[in-house]
Amino acid sequence: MDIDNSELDSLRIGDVYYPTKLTKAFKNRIAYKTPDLSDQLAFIPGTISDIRVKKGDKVKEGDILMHLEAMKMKNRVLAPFDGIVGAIKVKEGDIVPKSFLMVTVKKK
Amino acid sequence: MSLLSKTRELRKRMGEAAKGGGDVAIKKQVSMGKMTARDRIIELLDDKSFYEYDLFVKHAAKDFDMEKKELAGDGVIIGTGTINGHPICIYAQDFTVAGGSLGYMHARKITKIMDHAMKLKVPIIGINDSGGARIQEGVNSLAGYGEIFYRNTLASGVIPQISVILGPCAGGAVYSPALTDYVFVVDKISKMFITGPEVIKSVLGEEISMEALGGARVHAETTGNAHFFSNSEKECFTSIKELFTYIPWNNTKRADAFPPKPPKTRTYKINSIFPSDPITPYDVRDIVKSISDDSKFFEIQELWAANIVIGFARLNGETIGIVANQPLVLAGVLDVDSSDKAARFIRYCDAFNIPLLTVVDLPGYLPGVDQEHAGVIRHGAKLLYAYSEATVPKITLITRKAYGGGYIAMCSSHLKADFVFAWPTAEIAVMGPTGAANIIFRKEIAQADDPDAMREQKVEEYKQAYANPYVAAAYGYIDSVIELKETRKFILHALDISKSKSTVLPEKKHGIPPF
Repeated sequence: MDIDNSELDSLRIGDVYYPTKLTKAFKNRIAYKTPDLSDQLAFIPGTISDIRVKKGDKVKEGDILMHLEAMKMKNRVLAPFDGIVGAIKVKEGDIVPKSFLMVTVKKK
Repeated sequence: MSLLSKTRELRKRMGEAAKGGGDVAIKKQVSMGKMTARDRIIELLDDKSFYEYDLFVKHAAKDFDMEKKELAGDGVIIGTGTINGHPICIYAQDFTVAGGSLGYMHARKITKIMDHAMKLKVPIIGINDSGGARIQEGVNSLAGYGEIFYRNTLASGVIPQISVILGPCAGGAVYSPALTDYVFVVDKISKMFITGPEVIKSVLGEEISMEALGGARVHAETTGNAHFFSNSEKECFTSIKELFTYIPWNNTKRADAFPPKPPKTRTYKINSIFPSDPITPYDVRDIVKSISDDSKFFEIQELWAANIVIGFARLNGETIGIVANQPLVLAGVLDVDSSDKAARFIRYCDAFNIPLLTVVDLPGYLPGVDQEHAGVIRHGAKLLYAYSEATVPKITLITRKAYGGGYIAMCSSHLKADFVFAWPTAEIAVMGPTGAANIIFRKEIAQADDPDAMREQKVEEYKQAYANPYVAAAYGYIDSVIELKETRKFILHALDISKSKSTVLPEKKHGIPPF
C-alpha cells in the first residue's frame, strides 16, 4: 500500500506539479511541431515515382515535384510555395515510411 | 437393428464428432499451450453441467471440392450449462477443425445458441479461436458474421455477453467481441487485429510481429479492446467465474447478494492511506478497499487508462460499480481514454441495475495538442452523457480535488447524483487555487512592489476562502460533509434508501451519445 517514490514522475496540471506515475501512452505521445512546409514529408508510407525536379530547379507553388504511390493511388507531391528545390532525399522506386523527408524547397 | 446396435451407432458417431480435427490437430493445439475447445468449456462450466447441441451439423460448402470434406461439428461447439449454479449459453470455436474457420453452418450454430440465450434471458459466452472467414464459402461466411453482429447488438444491455479470445481472432471476426460486454485475453495466446502483419507490410511497408500488433498485452494495455488479461487459460476461466459473482443474469434481475462482510480495517486504515494535502499521490483502490466488503475490489481494465479505476465491489453483500480517479497515475486526470473507459462502464452498470459509487479526486483534464486533436471534447462528453442518462442509484464521494469541468463530469449533483458526500479535505472549486488567484488578482499582483509575495498571499487567501467543501455545501451541491471513518456508514445508508429509486427519462427511441 505504501507508494514507491522512485516510480513517481511529475506532471504539471494548471500551476501545480503533481508527483504521479506516467502511463506508457503518455510517455509515447508525439510532441506537436508546427509543420515546416520547406520539408516535404511522406504523409503516408509508399513508393516514390516520377521525380520531376532536380536540385537547384526553380519551382512555382503547386508544381509537381514527384509522386508518392500508396494504397493504389498516385499522390502528387507539390511545391508548397515559389522557391528553389534544395535536397532531394529519395530516388524513384524507394519505399519510404510515414514522415520520411522526401524533398526540401527553399523559399525565394 | 436392435436398440443396442442403434445406441452403439450413436455412440460411435458421437465419439468421432467429439474428436474434432483428429489426434494430430489436437496434438498441435496442445503443443501451442492451448486447451481444446471442448476442454475449455468443461473447465469453465460447473462440473458435469455441459449439454451439447448440433454435434452432427455438417458444413454447407459446395465449391472447391469442399463437399468431399468432413468437418466435425463444422468447427464450433455449442451448448448450455451452468456457472456458479446459474444457467448460461456457450459456444467455442474449434481451431483443430479447418482452423476454426467460420462458414455458413458454423455461423448458424453460433446464432442458434445466441437466440437461445436471448429467449432464455441468460448470459452468452463465446470462446473465439478461429482463422477467420472460410474463404471457400465466400459471401456465406460474411453473412454469418453479419448475423452474429446483429444479434450481439440486440442482446447488448439485455443479457451479459462475454468474449474469450483463446487464439487468433482476425479480420471481421474481431467485431463480435468488440460488441460484447467483456473481452478476456490470455498472454501469448490471444491475437486480435483487423489487418494482419503481412497485409500491413505489403501495403505500408511497416514491419511488426503478430504479438506486437495485436497480442493480449497490446489489447489490455494500449487499445483498451480487452477488459481482463490473464497469464493462462485456467487463470482466465477463474476470473470469468469471479466476474459472474458480481453481475446479474439479465437486465431484469439484480446480481446475487452475498453474506455481508466488514472491510479489513486493520490492513486498510482509511486515515493512514489518505494524504490530506492535495498533491501527494495515493492508490485510490486502497480507499475503495477500506470501505468495501472484505476489502475486495474486482478491477476491470486494470492496465489501460489507469488514471481512472473501474470495477465491482460489494457493500453489505450487494454489488456496486465503482468509478474512481486514480491520483497515483497521471495525477488522476481525465483524458480521451479514461473518459471512454468510465463512460462505457457507467452504461453497463445502468443497463444491469448496478448502483454506482463515484470517488472523485482530480485536478482536471490532461492538457496537450495530442489530446485535443484526439477529440477529448467528444470523448469527454461521453462521461457527461453516461452519468446524466444513468438512472441507477448514483452516489458520489469527493475526497480531495474536484476542480472545474472535472468536478461536473464526475457525477456531480448537477448530473443528478442522488447523494454527494465530501470529506473535510475536499476542494470544490472552479480551478486550482494558484490558477484562480492568478486570474482574479492579476492587477493586484502586477502592481505590487513584490509581485511574488503578493501572489503567494493571494493564493493563500483564496485557499482559505474557497479550497474547501463548504462553499459548494452552502449551495447544497454537497449533501453532507462527513468524517472519513463515517464513509461506509453513509454510503450503506444511501444505498439502502435508494432501493426503490425510480427515475423517468423523457420518452425517446434512443439518444445520440457522442460515440
